[in-house]
Order: sequence, then structure tokens, then C-alpha cells
Amino acid sequence: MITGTRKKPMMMILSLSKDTIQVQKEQDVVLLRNRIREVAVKIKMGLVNQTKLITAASELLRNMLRYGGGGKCLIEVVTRGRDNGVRLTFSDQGPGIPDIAAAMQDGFSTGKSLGLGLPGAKRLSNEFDLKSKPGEGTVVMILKWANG
Amino acid sequence: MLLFETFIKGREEVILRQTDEIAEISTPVIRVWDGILALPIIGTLDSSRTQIVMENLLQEIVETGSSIAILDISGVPAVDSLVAQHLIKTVSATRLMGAECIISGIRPEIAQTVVHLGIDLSNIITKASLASALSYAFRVLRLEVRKSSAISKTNL
Repeated sequence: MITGTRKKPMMMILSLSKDTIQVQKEQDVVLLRNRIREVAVKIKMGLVNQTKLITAASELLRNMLRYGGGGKCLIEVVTRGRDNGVRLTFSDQGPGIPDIAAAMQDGFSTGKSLGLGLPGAKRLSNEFDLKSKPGEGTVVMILKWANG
Repeated sequence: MLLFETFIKGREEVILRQTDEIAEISTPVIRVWDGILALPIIGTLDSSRTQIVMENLLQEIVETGSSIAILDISGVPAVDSLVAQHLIKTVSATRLMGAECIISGIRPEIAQTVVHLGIDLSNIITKASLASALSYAFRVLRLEVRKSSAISKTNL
């Protein structure tokens, strides 16, 4: 008899392609969204997942422009076993997020927005990671699998 | 070097002018019926565009005395929380003017995304297509569209 749960073998996430885009003004958002769509179409991501990924990216981009004063976005095509996905890393050198737990709550906003950007982006993506140090900046990573 | 800078500057001016122009032309308010306005939105809704959309719509409501406005978002590629917030504001402003606002053109993938984001649009009347929004508007105004049973010969 086997007791306990058997752990799934950890598979390495490999990056296939990298592309960095600078985001400084609102016009760059459209450019970046189109680029993300291109990448997503290339790995045959479904329309719903594409829309989810682009919406999540759009939320994080707006945060970056509004609070971080612009930054850069790294677009990667990643693979794990037979799964393909898109990984986006947004980094800025802004003021950082002092209270990450609060920022991840629905309806919390220091601006006058709905406060759904960060928690919404997390719900829309498969993997989400936020690192921030006050005074140094913020790095947000999201990953969406093509059929995840 | 100077030539290059002049070239870049020239291009930037062209782009800025085109941006203004797009903002101008892309928000027409259409009178689809007596008392019903439609506003198709194509492209991304940002703050400045929402301002133009709202101004045009409210002005047109006053001028035509319309009681129903349909905002069609089938041409909006993605609805994030900012766009949703702008939509909610436009709907509230229309209601203050005494008109009802319907949002139409919500595609399946947009609906799923909005739900995942956690945006509450439940107190707004939303329809999947412009046609269903229009038929809803007809119902509210107690108008009826039907096939005529017989073609009268006097008209032929």
C-alpha cells in the first residue's frame, strides 16, 4: 500500500525566446498588447486565454505607468514538458509597494481606481509573483499556459 | 544630425495630429431610432477618450431628448478594470441625465475576463449584441417590429 501522495515530478520551465520592450507612455501599452497577442497566437493559445493574458498585462502595465513611472516588460515564450506558455515580467524603478498584502486585496487602491488590478491579474494568470522593495521598485511576473 | 532631428520631430507631429484626429472621428453618436442613441466604441478606451465619448453622448441626449443610449463595445479589444471603470462612469452620468444606458457587444471571452477580474457590472443592463440591445430598447419604449401580413395593393 502506498501511503501519502506521490509528488509530481518537477519539470523545468525553459525559456525559448526573449524580447524586452520599454514602456514609458500610454501609447506603448497598445504596442505591447499587440506584441503579446502575436506571441500568444504563435503558440496557439486559445482566444479566452489570450484575452485573459492581455487583460492581466494591461492591468500591470497601467500600474507600472501610473505608480512606477514607466519601466520595461520582458516577454518570454516558455515551455514545460509539452506545455507552452507566455511569461511576462514587468519591472520598474518606482517607489515600490509598502504593503503587498493590502495591495493584493480586492478593492484596495491608493489611486482612485477600482482596486482590482493586482488581484485581478493574479486570478487571470496561472502563475503570479510579485516582488517589491520600497524605494527600489517592483517586479511582477505572470505566466499563462496556452491551455491552462 | 540636424536633418535627422528635424525628421523625427516632423514624424512625431504627424503622429500627434493623427492621434487627435482618431479621437475626433472614432466616437460618433448615431440616432438609430426616435429616442434611441447608439455609440459604437472601436479601440481602447482610455481616460481622454472616455471624456470625449461621455461629452458627445450627454450632449446628444440633451439635443435629441433620447431616453435610451446603447454603448456598443464590440470593437474594444480588451476590457480591463480601468476601461470598466470608465464604462460605469459613463452609465452613471447617462442615468443622471434621465436616460437609460445599455452596454452591448460583450463577447464571450470579454465576459469571462470581466468575471475573473472581479468587476461587478450587475447593475448595468448588458447585452451580447447590438441587435438584442435594440430590441430591448424597443420593448422599453413599447415599440413593436413585425412583418406586415399583406402588402396593400394601393402602395404598389
